[in-house]
Amino acid sequence: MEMAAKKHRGKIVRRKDSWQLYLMLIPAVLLVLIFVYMPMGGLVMAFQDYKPYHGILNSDWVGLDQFKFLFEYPDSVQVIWNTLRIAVLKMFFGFVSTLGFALLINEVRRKALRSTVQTFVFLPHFLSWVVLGGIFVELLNPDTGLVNQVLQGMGIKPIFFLGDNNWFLFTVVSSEVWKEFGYGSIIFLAAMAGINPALYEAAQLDGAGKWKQVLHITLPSMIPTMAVVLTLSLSQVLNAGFDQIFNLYNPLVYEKGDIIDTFVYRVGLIDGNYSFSTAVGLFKSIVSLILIMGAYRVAYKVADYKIF
Amino acid sequence: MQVTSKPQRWFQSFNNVLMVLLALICIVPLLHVIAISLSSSTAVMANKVTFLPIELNFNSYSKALENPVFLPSIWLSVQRTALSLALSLIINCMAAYVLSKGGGRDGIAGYKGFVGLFIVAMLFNGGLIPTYLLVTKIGLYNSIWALILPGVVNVFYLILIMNFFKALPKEIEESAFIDGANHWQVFFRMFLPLSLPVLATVGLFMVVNDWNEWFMGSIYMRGDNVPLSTLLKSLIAVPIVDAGNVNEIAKINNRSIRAAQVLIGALPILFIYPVLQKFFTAGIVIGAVKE
Amino acid sequence: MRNKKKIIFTSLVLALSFSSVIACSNGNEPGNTKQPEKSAELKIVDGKIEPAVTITMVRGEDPTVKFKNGENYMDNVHTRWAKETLGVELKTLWTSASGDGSYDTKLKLMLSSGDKMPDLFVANQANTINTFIDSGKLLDVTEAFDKYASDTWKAAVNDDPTAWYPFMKDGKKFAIPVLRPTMGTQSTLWIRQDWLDKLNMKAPNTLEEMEALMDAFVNQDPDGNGKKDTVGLEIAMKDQMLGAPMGDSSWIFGLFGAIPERWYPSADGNLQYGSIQPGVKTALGKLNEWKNKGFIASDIALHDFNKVAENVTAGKVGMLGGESWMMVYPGSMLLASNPTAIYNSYPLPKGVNSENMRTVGNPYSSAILISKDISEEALQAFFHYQNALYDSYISDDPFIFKGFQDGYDYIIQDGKANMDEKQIPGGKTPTMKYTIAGADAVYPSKRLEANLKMAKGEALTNADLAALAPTGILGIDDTNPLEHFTTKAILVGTEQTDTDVPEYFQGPSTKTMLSRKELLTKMQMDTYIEIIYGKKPVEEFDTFVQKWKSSGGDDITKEVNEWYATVKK
Repeated sequence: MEMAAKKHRGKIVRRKDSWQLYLMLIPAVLLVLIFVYMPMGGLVMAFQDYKPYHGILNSDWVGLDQFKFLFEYPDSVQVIWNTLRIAVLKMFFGFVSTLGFALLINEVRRKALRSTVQTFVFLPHFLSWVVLGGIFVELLNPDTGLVNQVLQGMGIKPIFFLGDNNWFLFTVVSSEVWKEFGYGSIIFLAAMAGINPALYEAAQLDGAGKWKQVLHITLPSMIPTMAVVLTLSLSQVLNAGFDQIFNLYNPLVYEKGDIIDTFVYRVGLIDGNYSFSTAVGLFKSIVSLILIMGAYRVAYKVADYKIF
Repeated sequence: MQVTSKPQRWFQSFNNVLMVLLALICIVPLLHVIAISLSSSTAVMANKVTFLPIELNFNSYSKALENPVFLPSIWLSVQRTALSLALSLIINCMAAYVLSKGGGRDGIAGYKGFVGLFIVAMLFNGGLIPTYLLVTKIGLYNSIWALILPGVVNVFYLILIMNFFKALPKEIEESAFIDGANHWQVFFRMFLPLSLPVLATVGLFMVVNDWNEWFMGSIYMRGDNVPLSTLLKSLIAVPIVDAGNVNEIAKINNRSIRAAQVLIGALPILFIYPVLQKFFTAGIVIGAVKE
Repeated sequence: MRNKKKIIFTSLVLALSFSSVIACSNGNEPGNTKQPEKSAELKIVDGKIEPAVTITMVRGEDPTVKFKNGENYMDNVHTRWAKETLGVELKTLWTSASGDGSYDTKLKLMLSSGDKMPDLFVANQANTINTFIDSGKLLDVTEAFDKYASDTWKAAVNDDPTAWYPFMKDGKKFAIPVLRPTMGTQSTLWIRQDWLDKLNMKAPNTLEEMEALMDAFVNQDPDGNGKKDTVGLEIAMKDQMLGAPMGDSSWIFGLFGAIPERWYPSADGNLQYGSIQPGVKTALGKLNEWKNKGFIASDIALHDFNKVAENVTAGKVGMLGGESWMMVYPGSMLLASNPTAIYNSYPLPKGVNSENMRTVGNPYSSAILISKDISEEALQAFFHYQNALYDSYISDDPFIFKGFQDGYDYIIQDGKANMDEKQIPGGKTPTMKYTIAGADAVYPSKRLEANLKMAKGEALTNADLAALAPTGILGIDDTNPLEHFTTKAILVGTEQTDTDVPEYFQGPSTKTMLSRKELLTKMQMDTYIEIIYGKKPVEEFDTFVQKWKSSGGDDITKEVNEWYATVKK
């Protein structure tokens, strides 16, 4: 269909009831125009020294100064790099754990066990980092924390998880994975629920084992969902999780744990600077847009799949 | 009943054990949080509470309850969540249906333009000040719609649903069109029923997000007319302790209230998830249509 | 590809065209507001304005405020009193939670949207206050304060005139400080008395004795549980070295002759930044030694005020520096689980050169900001109201505020005030928080006098009681014995007031601070903590000082002193 459309560029003969489609699209388009695009004019604040009492029209224009401040700041390379590292690690392990869990829970035959496990693994998603922060600090205490007492029992020297750069990275990534894998797996469970059971029946007749069924039916059928989830998760590539880092970090782990958002927060403390945070937000949005465009093309070229 | 081989049975048992372990490491911290929310300030502060409440009491819940705004705030949250869910589902699904048709003969002109419009909307936003100005200038200040309308279109869900729609077998739709059905009929009678798993997923996400979202409530609503999430957030936001408020601070237990807040935030899943769970079972969809 | 560019372009055009809608809505230019018209004096009959004058305000909700009888900020026993007794009607337009920052956000949004300002409001965040001062929408209160404030109120502010500094611009006063007592904000040394007695030791007079005591608290199992799970000294140092009211670190650095993160005069009279003074280097070396010996917790880098309070409650802490109310919070929590666990306050041990330094709090807690558009009547009514609250300091009547306090802060039984929480129907509800300032009217020196008398157990005169009246406290509250610890600690604190170092820099953030302060603070915390943890040698401090100076610190010092020159007379 796409090919046909391309050949007659501009001269596509559409179904005569296609006006119904526009009707169906109107509410979403209108809401987006009003609530997202109208305020978007505010992005010009990124090029101003915005003062609330001057408003957007009368604030001073400073060109790219806010961006210069971000990129010329002595720590900015470190902070951006840290953000990327944490976000990419979280994205990767998040994806693997989510998908893996969905596949495994799908193999559980006992209904009661299955639904209980499913409900339980969703629950950590609801624990906010403000609450978890306190629990983790206590749990990971180098002397009295439960984790280190267990390690000591096994003859391992105590580890200062939140005070060592590499362990901090490990803690941040693994705790995030733990918190979100259950919740994230719902999407994949839904995708699996949509697979036509006839496919499995046919495969069984051909004598394909479980493993082969997963490899040749389940996974391929989920490629669209995986592609969507992965591509759209790229919009988070510069978001390493402020609430989590903020509640766990400290000067000992600035080297690998300080991220863009904590940096912007600290700058904001000195003088609630709207223009600077707008500029940082704009920078993140642009990077996300580029990445998503790139991923879209890659998905199209490699897997011949268009996610939108 | 399918035949299971020995290695498969081994895998089954191993998998079951693994799943139970995963469930345990997820539920244990929650039990801890429940215990905290029900324990005395002293015990919580001294880090004595593990999984059983010490000096059982409901102070953190009554601290919220004694606020005259509490019950109205629950009602506001319920209304907001329900309205928002209904609107969001229908509007995002309709848009997803249209976009799933692409830009070809079956689809719409300007397809790429619309997709671009949504993608940009997902990634860029004007920020707090302009959005606040807009919401107040169009007269939504302190109205429940201020909590709903800005968040109705969610591009992530839209694209997710759209891809699900795209994966539905083309034949079903085509035969319906041949029988003289129009887009509305195909959308409501075929696409929606066939997409129950993804609708359940997205619906669950929406409910949870709307129930817990607190910032809009704190900015767009008056202090005496806020959703529950905002109210709870303001209860735990304790100012700097000084000589003027220390007597009161000693009576409030921040950590217990936070724990209570978490549990109240998890409420929707306890009510809604059991209902939705059956939609996540393999094969339900096609089976349902076949009947 | 071309298509995509078109989409983005179109989106941008769309956004910009719509944005004009937004931008237009902000038409209210600063500067074209008019001065309030001068009108005739208010008619005041028996202390009551006739007819009543309305003052509009907005306010931040303080989660520690309690209401009963279905009252709220808009309508309560105090607002009714103000209307009936003073003829001042307090009209609260809206309220918003203050602790999570939404009140300050809303104030700034009010400014952004050009909405009409209320007559007055209270703010406590420096950057909110500065934004309003810069906006030109605030009344220059210099003249009004001179003209309308009572002598008592003026004298109260004059106890420490530096309270005006943060709110001044070009020599004019743009907000009225809400005063708070500074006495009691300084650290005294709080020591677990039961441990001290059990180990048969004395409160330390010198650094050496203090180290010996820490050693004992750590290694002699003072809590008798057979585990080595106690620390000698607790300090809050997450994110910054200063600022925690419990677990204060200033006095520890002060033992070595410097206080980090604070501006104070050097020998030549100019302000210097404490963080780069040589005394800090010695202190850091000592802290590293203590850390190695286990005198301080191994995860001390993660300790903030809340963590300190937790550890105190858990009974793990031998000593800490803290404000006078330590035994009320977190002390009372510890006491609840262990009735013999008591901290007593002691004077600080002598520093290395027999010198001590410690921080003392600012003389203000927040400020009252008044709109330029306030009517003359409302302005006078405000001063009439505020003067009335300060009248307690020239009164002999302990029940001067009975009108709104009786039945809330206390009840009167047989002509005497009863402050017992359990005796007051509906519980004790401090009404001082219902006032415009959201706090009691403070006259620091008079309040201190009365407090010291209580600490020494001297009889309070009616005048003393009246001076305490704004807080709703009428004499020693025997139902709350922990208050004794507080007044005692204030007394202990007064013995070493010569060591108090206030924050001398009270101006808005300077130009270089805006661009460099975050960097310098991060650099400082990084260096300090790594030295304490032994990840870097103490000599690293010298490198830090050089880097601090060259990365903007010298410029900041210059700017701070330029500001100082404008207030120093």
